[in-house]
Amino acid sequence: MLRWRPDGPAAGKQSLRLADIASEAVLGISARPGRSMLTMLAAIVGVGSFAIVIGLTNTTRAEVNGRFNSLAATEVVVSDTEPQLSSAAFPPDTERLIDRLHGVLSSGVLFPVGVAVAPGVTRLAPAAGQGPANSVQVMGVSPGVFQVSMGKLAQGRFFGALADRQRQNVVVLGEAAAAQLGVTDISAQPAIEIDGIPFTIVGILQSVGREPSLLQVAIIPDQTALRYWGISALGADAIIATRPGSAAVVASEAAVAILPADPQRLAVVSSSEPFIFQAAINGDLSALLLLAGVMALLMGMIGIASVTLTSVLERFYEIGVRRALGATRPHITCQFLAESTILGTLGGLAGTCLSIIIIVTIADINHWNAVFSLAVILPDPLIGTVAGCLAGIYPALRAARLDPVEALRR
Amino acid sequence: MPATSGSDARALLSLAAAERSYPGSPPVAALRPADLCIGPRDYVSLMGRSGSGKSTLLNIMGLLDRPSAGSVIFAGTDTEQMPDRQVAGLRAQHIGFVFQSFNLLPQRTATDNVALGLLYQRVPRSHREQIARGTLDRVGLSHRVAAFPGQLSGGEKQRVAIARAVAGRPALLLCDEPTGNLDAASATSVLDLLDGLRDDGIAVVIVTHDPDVAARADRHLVMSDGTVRDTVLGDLGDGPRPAMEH
Repeated sequence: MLRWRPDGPAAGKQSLRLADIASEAVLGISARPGRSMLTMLAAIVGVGSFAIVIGLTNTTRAEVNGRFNSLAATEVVVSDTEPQLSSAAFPPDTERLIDRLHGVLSSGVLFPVGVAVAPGVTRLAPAAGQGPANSVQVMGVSPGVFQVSMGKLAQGRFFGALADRQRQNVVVLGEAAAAQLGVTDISAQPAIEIDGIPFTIVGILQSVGREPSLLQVAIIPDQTALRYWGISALGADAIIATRPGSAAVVASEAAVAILPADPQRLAVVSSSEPFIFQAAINGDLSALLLLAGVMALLMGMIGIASVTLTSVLERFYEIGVRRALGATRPHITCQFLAESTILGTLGGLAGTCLSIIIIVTIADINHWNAVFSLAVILPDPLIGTVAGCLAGIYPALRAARLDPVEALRR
Repeated sequence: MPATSGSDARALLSLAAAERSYPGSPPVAALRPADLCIGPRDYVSLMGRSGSGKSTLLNIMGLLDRPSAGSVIFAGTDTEQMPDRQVAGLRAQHIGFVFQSFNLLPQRTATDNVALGLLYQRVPRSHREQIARGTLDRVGLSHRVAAFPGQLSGGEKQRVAIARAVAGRPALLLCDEPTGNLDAASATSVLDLLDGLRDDGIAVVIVTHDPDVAARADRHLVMSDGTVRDTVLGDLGDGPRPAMEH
């Protein structure tokens, strides 16, 4: 029974329904499980690598930011820029002067003392530079330093304002310094000599939140240090802990508050500078990692394109049959594009899941908090879709350009 | 009837001075200028030695290939200027192919293979399966609807291929040595099937080397060195005659 119109044949509407395209693509995928798995693997590697890079960037950034934020954002350091002068940059009541400023939580002054300490109670250590190889440095600090540095004791106590005012011969050893000096127990109030002057060990510092160098030294009251050794030629610093958001204001006022007669002598570094640095680091790191992620994604796309192209070469005769049955070039294009897009989507989903597992594992190993942003995670499978679609364009066009007679001949 | 005019108001397919050559030094003339008409319900055999141009002619008749010169007129419409999309539409709607090597998709069942022939006619999916099963029933394979090609005999595969070609009720069925890979019994059953299609109003063109197969046709074309001519069986040595009658 003839079906054409008397006035000539009509091709009619030829575009396939979306459901037909999808079902043909699914049949094409399931007909070659091995090949499909390879294509999907390329998508998994591409999207997974991309998601891991982005996810880990967020996690590490959050970790770094957390550390910056909790300490650096609330810290101001004031330094003596002219330590060679005979007058002290920081007066004895520096802590009181600073603590009066609005937004200051605590403050303290610290400076290295030019002596060395050796184990034992009788030995007098000479000045710095002449001590034994394992010499422990001595740091003079005002009592507020313990609070500013968020020090925690392993044993004993910190010295207070009274001991500082009375210039007592007391010392707190940093944990590493105590170990170096062989001091493990201070219950019997052992003593060490510094330049032949006996000092009673009142505490051992276990940990600090700021100024980790305190763990390496013997810490004595700053007024005691000044009494015996005078002003440090190495300069002194005042560390100030502020309330969140107050660092900049405190920084602008600190120098005048401490040394109103000569504020230029003091250099002030506030947390805003580390933040600028931090932002720069974050920016550089993000750009580099994003580049690495995009490169991984491109490699995945090349993989998808390569496997799809091989699939086209293997399916020449199927293409010929479809063309003989009436498939247009766009039909063939759609067939292969749909297959690579579906495989890209599935690979994207699997790659995203895999990346989440890997990020959580890495974060767990490093004791980080894994950070996932929905804005980053949700589009990842979609990236697989786009990657699959883009990677399938060339093979699909190649398939569509195939001459049907040539295709049937192979 | 002028020998160079391929146009005929009643013709299903007309070739007017259609020729096909392939570039080379010298160019290879696979089909020399040919005038040919195939009418509705024609049952035509096409014989010739290997390399004589049978497949080239079949591809041009099936709109799979385009002539280097001349024109192919399908149901009164010249296909020369038709875009590929429209020509593909004609193949989908009006032309069926049966190949010597069956060309079934191995990962699909007999039903799915037959239904594939309807996909590009935009037959809804639910109807495709229904029509495919009905067509398989007509070719005597109702018990093999779920079988994969690898599970079918040669004769069964060719029946599936025929079912795929005719499921969309084409006007023209082009068979390229449909019994070439079959044993005698299978070949007979396939040919019986093709004989019956005439009753459905389908014009059938069979390419064959076998005079017994050709004998079933009403009209006989012979190709020799790219030239096609009408002939009568047992008279293959006659000089060329215009292949216009139908």
